[in-house]
Amino acid sequence: MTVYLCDDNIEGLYSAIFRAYADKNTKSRISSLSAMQSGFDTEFIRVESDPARAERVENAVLSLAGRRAADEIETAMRSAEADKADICFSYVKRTLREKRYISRDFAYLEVMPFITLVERVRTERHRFTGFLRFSDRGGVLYARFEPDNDIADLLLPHFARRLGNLPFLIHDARRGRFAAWDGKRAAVFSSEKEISEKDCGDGVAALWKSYFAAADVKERPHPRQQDGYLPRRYRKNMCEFSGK
Amino acid sequence: MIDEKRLIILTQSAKYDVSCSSSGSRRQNVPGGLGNAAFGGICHSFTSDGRCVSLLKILLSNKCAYDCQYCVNRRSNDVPRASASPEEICELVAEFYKRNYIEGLFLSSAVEISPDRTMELLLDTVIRLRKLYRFNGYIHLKGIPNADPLLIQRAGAYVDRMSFNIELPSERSLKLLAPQKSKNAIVKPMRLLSSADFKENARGRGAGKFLPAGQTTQMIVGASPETDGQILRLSQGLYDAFSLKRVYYSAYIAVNPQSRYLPAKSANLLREHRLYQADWLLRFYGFTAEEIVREDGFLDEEYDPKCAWAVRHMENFPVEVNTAPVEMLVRVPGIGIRSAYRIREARRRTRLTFDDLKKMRVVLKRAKHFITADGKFFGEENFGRMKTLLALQETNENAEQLSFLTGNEIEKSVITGEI
Ligand code: SF4
Repeated sequence: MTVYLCDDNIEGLYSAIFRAYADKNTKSRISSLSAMQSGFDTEFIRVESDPARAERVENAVLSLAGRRAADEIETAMRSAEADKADICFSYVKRTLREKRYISRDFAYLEVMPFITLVERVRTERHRFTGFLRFSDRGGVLYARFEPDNDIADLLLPHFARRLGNLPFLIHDARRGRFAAWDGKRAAVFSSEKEISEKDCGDGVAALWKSYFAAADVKERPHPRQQDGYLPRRYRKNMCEFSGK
Repeated sequence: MIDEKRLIILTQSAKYDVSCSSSGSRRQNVPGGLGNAAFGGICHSFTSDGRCVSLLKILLSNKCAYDCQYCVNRRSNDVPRASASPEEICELVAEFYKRNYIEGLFLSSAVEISPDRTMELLLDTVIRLRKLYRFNGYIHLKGIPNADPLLIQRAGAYVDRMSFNIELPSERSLKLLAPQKSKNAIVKPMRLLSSADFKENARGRGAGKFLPAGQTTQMIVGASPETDGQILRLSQGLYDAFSLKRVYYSAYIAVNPQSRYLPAKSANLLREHRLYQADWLLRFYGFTAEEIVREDGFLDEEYDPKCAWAVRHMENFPVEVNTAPVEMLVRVPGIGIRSAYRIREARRRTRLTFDDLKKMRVVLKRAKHFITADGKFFGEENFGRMKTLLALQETNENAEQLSFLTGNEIEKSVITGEI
């Protein structure tokens, strides 16, 4: 069994798919992990990203299955699932075989795992449009969060529309990814820089905490539902839950 | 900025209004403005009672001239009183919104001095927010019964949603428990807001879109003797007459143990939950109130209303998933709109088997007793055993459902009763 190891992004995936087809080795697997357990009959092949080759695969997807399919693949590759690259590979193979958009063919073996990745990423993005917390750092709104999936830049347009002229910085502290807005232009970059923790800081945050505590109907505890809707792992970056 | 003490008083007096939804509006931001509305709504946090926090839900004042028995703010109740100025509310909304704590404002008020005076202050607040703060986030405004229709009309041009609460499911109970309110004082403005002329009129004044997220209402359940059937028929009537977006049900919380007319204990939360589920069936699955309630006028406690209906009508089942119309599929316990849609899409190309359904993540635990797939039946043949199984599964169902929800469905499902 061959495993093609690719970079952890859409270009990496498409480059590896190109290579698998070029090698006539489409029964292989693709992984975006940097380290993998090797079985004694597994052969690992590292595939460098190649923009020109990646584009050829992407164009094939676009012309056969349309923009929607290409967007879904791009979204799925943002997932934190270990085998996402392989799930995408299976989906692309089937798409190229069927020569059409297949995401609504729920009974195909390749579709549900793929759609599940896409939905998880989109769900998490949607959740953080609500759960992200900004604090005012001298005129710049700063939000630190630790999402499961790579979604910082996906949140940018939403907050840019809302906050208009107000500059902000969204910081995925897990990946060292930043999405920035200066009131007019957007930028996305990576940096290992740590931004000092300062709680949500000011008097407004204190009022918010009081509000949150007062709005709770204590006669009706339902923590299981709370946990279902607002996973505990998200809470450490939400000031209403921090003790500080 | 408002001080913490008043903020707490005005929040605690507002929190028993259940609605916190921010859906239904596509209001856009303007250059130099703050905020917009997301059509599906966004939940910003969840309190330990499991409820979504989306809007800053607050009263302008809890100093009430009325004496509604079921309400913490009633005149005769000895509680701390406070009020805030329109400016204080606006400032708080803008600061909370910037930090992404909230999606907007849900503003209401006790009747301080008079209905007109109160409505004026509410109107002042929302105009100030829209005009001075250039705030384009979501605003839900509670209307004050007996206020001048002109004030109500003007407010409708600035806010996304308005609600007048029905409060109690019958006129008789309203008379008994809220003597200063009348059915007419509540229903008349609802009718006004839903009438086309009225909307045109408001538009003619050069204001924005009139109530893009429509009207909702709320009633208290278990404070008075009405049956579930009466309640659901009322809801049905309200949906039909005023094209309401939602009716909210709120299980009575015993805030007035002294009252001769009110139960000493809080009402059963399960009843509230069942009503939401039944309401969902009315709105989306084509059921009527008569179909869902038992002969005694109440909903079953053991199963959700769809399941209870199916168990009473086994002559309709099993249905074959490859051929049943979608309207029938959504009547199968355990199959919701999403699964029905998946089935409809997938069966165009394949003849579906139980394995396919599993792959498609259709939850079969309950559905299997009511369907065949490619002619095969995997349910329980014995009716008595099947009923026991269904009742057992019911207990675990809620927590599991959550994990199937995506995106906007989370907002939608919070107190919607989707089944
Ligand atoms: S009018 Fe009735 S329901 Fe409203 S705040 Fe006053 S007492 Fe409560």
